[in-house]
Amino acid sequence: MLRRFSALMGKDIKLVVRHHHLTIVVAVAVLYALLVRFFIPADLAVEPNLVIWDRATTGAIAHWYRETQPGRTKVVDTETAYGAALQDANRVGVKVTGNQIPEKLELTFQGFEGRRLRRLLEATLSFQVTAMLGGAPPGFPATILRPGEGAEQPAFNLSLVPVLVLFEAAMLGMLLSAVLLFGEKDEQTLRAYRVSPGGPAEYLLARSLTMSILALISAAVLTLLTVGPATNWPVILAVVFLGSMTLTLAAMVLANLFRNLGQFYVTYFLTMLVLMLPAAVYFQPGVRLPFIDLLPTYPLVYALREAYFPTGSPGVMARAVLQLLATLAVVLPLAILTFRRQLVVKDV
Amino acid sequence: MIKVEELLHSYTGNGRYAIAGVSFEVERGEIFGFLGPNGAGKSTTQKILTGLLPVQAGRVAVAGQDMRRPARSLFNRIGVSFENPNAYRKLSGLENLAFHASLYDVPTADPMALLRRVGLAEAAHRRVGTYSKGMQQRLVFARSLLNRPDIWFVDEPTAGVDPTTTQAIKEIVREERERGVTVFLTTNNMHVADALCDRVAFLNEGKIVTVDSPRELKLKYGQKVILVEHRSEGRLKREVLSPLVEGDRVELQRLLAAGQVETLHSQEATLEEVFIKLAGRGLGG
Ligand SMILES: Nc1ncnc2c1ncn2[C@@H]1O[C@H](COP(=O)(O)OP(=O)(O)OP(=O)(O)O)[C@@H](O)[C@H]1O
Ligand SMILES: [Mg+2]
Repeated sequence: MLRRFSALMGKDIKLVVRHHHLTIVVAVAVLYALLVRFFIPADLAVEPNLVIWDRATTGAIAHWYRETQPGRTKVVDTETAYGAALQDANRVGVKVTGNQIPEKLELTFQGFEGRRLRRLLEATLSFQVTAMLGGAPPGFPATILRPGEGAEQPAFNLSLVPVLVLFEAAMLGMLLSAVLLFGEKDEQTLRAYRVSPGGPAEYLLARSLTMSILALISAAVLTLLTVGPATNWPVILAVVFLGSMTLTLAAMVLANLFRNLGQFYVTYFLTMLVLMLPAAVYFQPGVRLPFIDLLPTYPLVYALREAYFPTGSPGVMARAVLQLLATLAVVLPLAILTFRRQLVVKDV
Repeated sequence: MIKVEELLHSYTGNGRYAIAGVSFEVERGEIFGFLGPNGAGKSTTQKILTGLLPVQAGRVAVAGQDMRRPARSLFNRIGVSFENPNAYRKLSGLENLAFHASLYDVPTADPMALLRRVGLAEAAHRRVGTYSKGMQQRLVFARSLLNRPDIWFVDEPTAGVDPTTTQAIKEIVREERERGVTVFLTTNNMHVADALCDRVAFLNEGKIVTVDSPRELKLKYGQKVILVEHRSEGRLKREVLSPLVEGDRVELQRLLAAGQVETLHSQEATLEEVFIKLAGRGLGG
């Protein structure tokens, strides 16, 4: 069993190298790193949507924002409406009090907005108020709704790293493992394996382990070239390894339903779309999708974020590792069983 | 060693059978030839016997194991050579054999020695992608002997290989039989079948037409004929006469008595003729 497994690993690693998969994976990691380092801005000035509750009688601030930026401004006039509007995690609240003229502006942040964004908002408001009052701007006492989240907001370009690592581990791993499988179907070498004492377990394990090694290499390259060597390696490597194992196993079972890459393509694409949803949520923290946290990519991306940019909640990482382990424990036997059945009824 | 009863197989599941009720038995240590025209179902049968296709209906036992649920360990005892050369093209010949050798739980043959046996020693370190078709065929043939199988399935080992290699392959099959290996040999080469097989089965359209030794088949289906060239009225004439036909015998005697015969050849039936007769058409048709 162990001998077979290592023979299969040796074979897979040779194939991965000789089919230039290793080169592709490293090249993509370097390309991503170049994008992050040189092409994606460190700061993306995303202007927030505003909820304005203007209690100063003139309503000058509300008026100004409604006139100039109608698309991202919501004006409310009761405390309840203000609170309700702030349930939307993409909004920043501005409460204006005063008599005739705005005297005090209280800001309410969700917690994950970047520092730069806050300063930008304060600067605009300060400019407006100064213009209206013709004098010094008031202070901006701020409330933070979800303190902790985004306490250490990373630069925008670096904040992409967890998603890129996920993308390469998931997408390339799944695609390349399918490519190897279809190669073996095409060459009919899988048939030769099937008349040996080797079973689906060692075959699948060797394949997913090979792919996980590729994923680890790509994660390491990308991390070193972007975040640098001083980071939480154990967690990064552990979650990439577990995530890649789970995803390649799933990819093998899915791919095995098809004869070639052309037939598998649509399924692969749809699967990737679903698996990448957690990445979308990662960029839009306000979006809440049901069951999304059951996808293996969900704990993966959040654990990576916590590992790269700690917010002081290591529980996220521990939970992610446990969840990935649990998912793998379910997916592995399922994959072996399905693979065995698929191979027996189909002549591949 | 191999027992097949009432085997049926349909690829399409619409009542069309590639294998339509096949029964036969292969004894221990025998070379059993499996002959039949293209599309007769030879490879399909081999795939079922080696567990690559499921047993849909009927019973198949290999080395006493029900092929509906063969133990993985059975594959330590059987060797399979495929009709299509199926080796990893990105690995060298030697790497292919070394990889497969590590899959077995039993002592295996030395890959290099096997390569030498099929004349691939020189090419051992080259990637299989650079091999010719015949070389790939030889590699796959050699691979099937890695685990020194007791039961050896060989599908068209001589397809696309040159006469020298055909001779070498015949020699290897003979040597394996000497070792006591049971051989299930599918071939379209009637000379190979005639020279090697203890018994052959003729398969046509998924059914076994007959099973017998090549010699018996030639006696039963072939005809012994006499080719006579004789001179009459100043012209050379050729006639094919059968000693079994009354009129032909009388004619032969007449020609001999008249002293007109110039040449006389007796012709043995060949397995090829038997094949054509049984299949109703020529090879490659
Ligand atoms: N995968 C498949 N799907 C559908 N039909 C198939 C498949 N493989 C074989 N067949 C059909 O089954 C029949 C038997 O094919 P098989 O390959 O067993 O023939 P064969 O006797 O080995 O022929 P050959 O001498 O050409 O190798 C043929 O009619 C063939 O078209
Ligand atoms: Mg065939």
